[in-house]
Amino acid sequence: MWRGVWHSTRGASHLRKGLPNQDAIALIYGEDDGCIHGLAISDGHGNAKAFRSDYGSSLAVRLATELCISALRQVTDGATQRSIREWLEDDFPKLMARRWTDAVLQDFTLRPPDDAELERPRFTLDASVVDSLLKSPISIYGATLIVVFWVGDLLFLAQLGDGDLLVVMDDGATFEPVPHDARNFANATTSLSLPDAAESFRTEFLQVADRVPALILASSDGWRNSFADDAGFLRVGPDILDDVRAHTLLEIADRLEIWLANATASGSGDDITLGMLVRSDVVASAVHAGAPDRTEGADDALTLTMCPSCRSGVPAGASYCEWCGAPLGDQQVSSTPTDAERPVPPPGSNPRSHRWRWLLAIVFIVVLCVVAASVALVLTMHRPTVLPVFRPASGRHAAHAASKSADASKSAEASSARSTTATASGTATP
Amino acid sequence: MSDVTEVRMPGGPIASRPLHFVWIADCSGSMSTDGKIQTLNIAVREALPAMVAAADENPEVQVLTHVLAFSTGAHWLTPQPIPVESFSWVDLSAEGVTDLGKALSLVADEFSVSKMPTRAVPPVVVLLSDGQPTDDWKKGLARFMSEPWGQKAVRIAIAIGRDADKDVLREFIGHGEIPVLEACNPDALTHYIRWVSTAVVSTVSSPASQQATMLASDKSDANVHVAPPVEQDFGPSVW
Repeated sequence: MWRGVWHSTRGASHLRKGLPNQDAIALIYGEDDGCIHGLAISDGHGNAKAFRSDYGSSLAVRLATELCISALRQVTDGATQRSIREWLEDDFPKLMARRWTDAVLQDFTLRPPDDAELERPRFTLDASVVDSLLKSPISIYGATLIVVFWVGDLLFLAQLGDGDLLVVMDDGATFEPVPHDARNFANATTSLSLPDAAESFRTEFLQVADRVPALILASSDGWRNSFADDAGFLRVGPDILDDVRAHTLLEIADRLEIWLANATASGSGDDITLGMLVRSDVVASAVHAGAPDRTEGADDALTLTMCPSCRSGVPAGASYCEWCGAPLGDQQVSSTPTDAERPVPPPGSNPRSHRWRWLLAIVFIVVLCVVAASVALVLTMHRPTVLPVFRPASGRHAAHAASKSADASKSAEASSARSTTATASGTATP
Repeated sequence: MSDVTEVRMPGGPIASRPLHFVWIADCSGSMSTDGKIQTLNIAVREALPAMVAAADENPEVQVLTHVLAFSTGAHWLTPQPIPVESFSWVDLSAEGVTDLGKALSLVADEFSVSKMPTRAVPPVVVLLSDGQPTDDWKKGLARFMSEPWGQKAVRIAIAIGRDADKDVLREFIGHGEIPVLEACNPDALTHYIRWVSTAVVSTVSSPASQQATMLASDKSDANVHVAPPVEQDFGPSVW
């Protein structure tokens, strides 16, 4: 059983240029058991020619998810693992490439680019190049794809294009199971938009009955390109495993956000998406497991109960809530929840929303203080002035008093600004 | 969220990606006439601040500068690549013949897979020449293009004067969308050197991906697209 944690951050370079995040990611859930069976990540090319690659990547993860679910249906219908494996190896790449191509062509037909959308390519590219793209539009959606999919004790790993897959074992040993493609370097990548996309998939199967990985990391290329060298990149495996064992999933998700922001700002400047599949007992062994609303999945869909603190679903009999770390007493065992019944932390019960409430309260108090200080200042300025014994000109005295009042006002503003700044740096941003 | 400063980053150090920028300068005897080599020296020196500024605007890459001079033989003026913010131009002098082939072979050695980091962005190679190669330039070019980094490089050629062999330069560029830049007077040369130091650096610095291709005849399609400079009238030809 797996837990999924992921984050996707817009590249620092894209932020500067006003471009969207062109990565996409999806966790793959089983229809029958509601468990996480894998994930799919796609990276849109993002160059001037691929001006719809953000849509291309979203489409890619959606279609990959559908295909994986269809594999699970085959299992339900009695297919052997051998036939599933053959289907994944032979048919998955072809179906994926064909369906993606059909879908993008359909999108182009239904939604031809208008002048606004063509503004950037027309500015950057020669008119003949733009015309050529519009006649053969598949490449404007260009995207890569990484799929991690678990069925039975068979782990299916598929990759088209750049990006990275790391498998991390319990002892921290980290390896890259999918062979590299020599064409993917210097920002060039194979793509779903290539005529030979199906043949360009690299697939690998791991039979993991005895040694189930502790962690599987899938990322777009912006992550690896942020590290000074390959050795440094591969160390993320054992380092993240240590973090997962030592922190709640909530904290891990927060850290993901920080890691990716740091990496794109100081490293590649690219969009970065990192998805993690964590073996459930790796999380549970830390006891302090917790998760944000973007970490989903049930260890055991058959016996779930609800944590009274964060109202997330937790395995019955657990002594600590995996989501928020709260200790659990005897809980009523519930039946398998359907998607509709799956407990979702309502607004306000999520531990992260508690922190937001406190932040809002503090900001409100600070604003009240500033307003009160301003009102007091105004009242003071209009109070009748008591003339000193040595009577300077009234104009100069009024100016002096006003100056002193202005200084007091500046001090109050500086004081409130400092307290506001201190508050923002200590709290999370969504 | 935890304070950023308290969160340990997993893995090794984070770093910007290297962008290797190579000047291949023709220092043959013909460059000593009509102030060509002097104009080249002044133009590169004057373009440096703008190049540094372009690099600053793209902090995700670190621009590393190389200079290779060729005349009778070829040699690196920069034994190691120099960060552009630390780079200063040393004036070139001109004498000898035009051994372009040797120059390209040296660049090929520098761009070997074993020497270049895998995470580098496509390099930029700028060839400035005013004449005809005097050695087996095709062999040198083939050697250069046999290196994956040579294929991926953004190759720019500036023809200095009308006598430059533009067919050779076109073959060096090997990309239908990038023309040979013809500089027939100092203003044009200065303008093109500045353009290649800034606009090309900015374009190549982008982390956007290019679709790879399996077609041997279409290798250039996988290169970074660089829009050529806007055509201008630089006045009467001097060279």
